[in-house]
Amino acid sequence: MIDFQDVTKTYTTNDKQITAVDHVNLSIEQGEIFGVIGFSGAGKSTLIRCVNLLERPDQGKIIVNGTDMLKLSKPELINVRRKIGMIFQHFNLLESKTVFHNVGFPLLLAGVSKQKVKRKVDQLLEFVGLKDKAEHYPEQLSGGQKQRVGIARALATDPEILLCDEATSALDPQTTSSILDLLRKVREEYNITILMITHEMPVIKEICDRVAVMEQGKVIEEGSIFDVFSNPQQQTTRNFVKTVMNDQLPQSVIDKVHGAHEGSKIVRLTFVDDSTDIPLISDVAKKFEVDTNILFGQIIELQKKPFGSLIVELIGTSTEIDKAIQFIESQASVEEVETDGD
Amino acid sequence: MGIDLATFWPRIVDATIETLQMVAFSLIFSLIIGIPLGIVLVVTRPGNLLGNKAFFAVLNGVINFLRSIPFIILLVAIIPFTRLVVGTTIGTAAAIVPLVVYAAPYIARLVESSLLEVSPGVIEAAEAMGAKPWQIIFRVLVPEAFSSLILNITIATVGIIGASAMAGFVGGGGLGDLAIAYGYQRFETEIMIITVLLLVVIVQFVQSLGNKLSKTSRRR
Repeated sequence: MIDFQDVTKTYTTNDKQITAVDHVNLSIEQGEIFGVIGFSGAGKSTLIRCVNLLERPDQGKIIVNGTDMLKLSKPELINVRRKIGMIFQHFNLLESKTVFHNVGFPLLLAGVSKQKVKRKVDQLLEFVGLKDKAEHYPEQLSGGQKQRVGIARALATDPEILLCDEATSALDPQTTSSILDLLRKVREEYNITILMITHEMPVIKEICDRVAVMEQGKVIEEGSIFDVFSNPQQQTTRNFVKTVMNDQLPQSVIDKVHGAHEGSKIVRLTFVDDSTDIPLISDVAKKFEVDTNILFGQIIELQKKPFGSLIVELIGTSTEIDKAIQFIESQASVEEVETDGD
Repeated sequence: MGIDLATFWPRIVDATIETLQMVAFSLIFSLIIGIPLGIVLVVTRPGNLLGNKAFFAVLNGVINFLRSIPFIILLVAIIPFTRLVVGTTIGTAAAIVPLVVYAAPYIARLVESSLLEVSPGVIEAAEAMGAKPWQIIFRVLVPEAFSSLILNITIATVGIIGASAMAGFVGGGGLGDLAIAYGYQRFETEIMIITVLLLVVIVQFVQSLGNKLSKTSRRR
C-alpha cells in the first residue's frame, strides 16, 4: 500500500547538512497498522510527511497504492492527497470553525454539495462519538475530543490511508488508550491502512501489527510486534522494549542472591504463546533435585499472543541444575543471567 | 480676537465631516491595496506556501522604505504623484492620496503579522487535505486570522485619523487643520479643545467598534 524505496531527505541549515531520512526502504501492507518508533530527531516525522509529499524526498521513490507520488502533477497530487487522511499531535483544527465545519472542511475544499457534506459529517461525528458537540468550537473541547474531531476530519474524504503523526503524544494515558481504540475501530470499519509514528512504545505495543525502529534517519530494525518485542536485535530497540516490559534485575539483587546460595544459577525463562500455560516450575521441582526461587515474573499480551518472562534461581548441584535447564529448554527459551546491567 | 462659537459651529461640523470622509476613503483604498500586499508578504516569504526569496526581498524592502518616511514629508514629496492621480494638489481628495500611500504599507505589515499568527500546523493540515494555495489563503489563513485582522485594522484606522490631522498642509481640511489654524496659530483655546475632544470621541468610537467586531468575529 505504501512503499518507501531508498527514500532520502537532506536539509541544509547554516551550511550544515542534516540527513533526516537516510535510504529508507519500507513496505506497508494494505489494512495493517504499521508503527515507526524513534526518539525525537530520528527522522520519523520527516518520513511520514514524505508519504503525502508535505516533504519532498531528494532521492528514492514513494509508491502509494501503485502510484509513484513524485511523478504526479500538482492537480493530481491534490486528488491523491484526498485519499490520504492525516492526524496530528496538536490536532491542527481550525479554531474559527465549529466541530461540524472542521469535519466538513476537506469536503468543502473538494467542492462537495452541502447536503452530502451534512450527511457525511453527521455520520462521522456519530462514529467518533461527538454528535452532541457538532456546534462547539475546538477551544471548548478536551484534547481527546479534539483528536476525535481530527480523526473524523481525516476520514471525511474516504481515505485509503491514515497517517498518524504522534497522534497520542499530547494526550494522557487514559485518553491515549481511548483514541487507540478508536483507531482500531477505524481500521475495522473502513479497512484503512494506518501508518503511525510515535516515540511511545506502549502505543506501538497496543495497536500495531508491525513496527520499524528509526535512528539517525535509518531504519535499524523492522518486524512484527511479537518478534521485535520478544527478541529485539538492536540496543535502541531493546531500550524501547524496556519501556514496556522491564525484566532487568538490579545488580544488588543478583549479588545478594548469589551470596546466599553457593553454586546456584539465575536464569531467565521466556515463554511464548502455548508454553505460558505449562506448570513448568513445579515440574522442575518434582523431577529434579533442584530448588527454585522465583525472583521476577511478568506476562504481557503482544498481538493477542501471551508473552511471559520469568527469572528464577535454581539451587542444587551443578549436574542437577544442568539437567533441569535441559528439561526447561524443551518448553521455553533459557538465558543465564550473570551480570544484568546492559 | 474672540470667535463667536455660535457662528463658528458650522465650520466645526464641516471639518468633522471632512475628517470622516478623508479617513473613510483613505481606509477603504488602503485596505484594497494593503490587504493583498500583506497576504503576498506572507505567502511569498521563503519557505511558505508560494515562497519566493527575490520577490519577497523586493516587496519587503519597498514596504520598509515607504514606512520609514515621516508622513509630513511624504505629504509634500509625492505632490506630483497626487496631481497625477486626482488632478489636483489641494483639498480633501488631494489629502487622501498621501494618506493611502502612508497607510497601505502600514496595513500590509499589520495584515502580515496577523496572518503569521496562524499556526503552521493548521496550514500543513489543509495542505494534507489537498487544499489549493488560494483555498489555503481564503479558507484557512484569512478566516483563522480574522479576529486579529480586525484589531490590527482598527489600529491602522486610528493611525489614519492621526495622520489626517496633517492634511491641512495641502488644504485637506478636517478637524486637525482647524485645530492648527485656529487653536494653535490664533490661540483660540476653545476651538483647540473642541476639535481635540471631537478627535478623542472619534478614536474612542473606532476603537470600541473594532474591539467589538473582533470579539464577535471569534465566534461565527
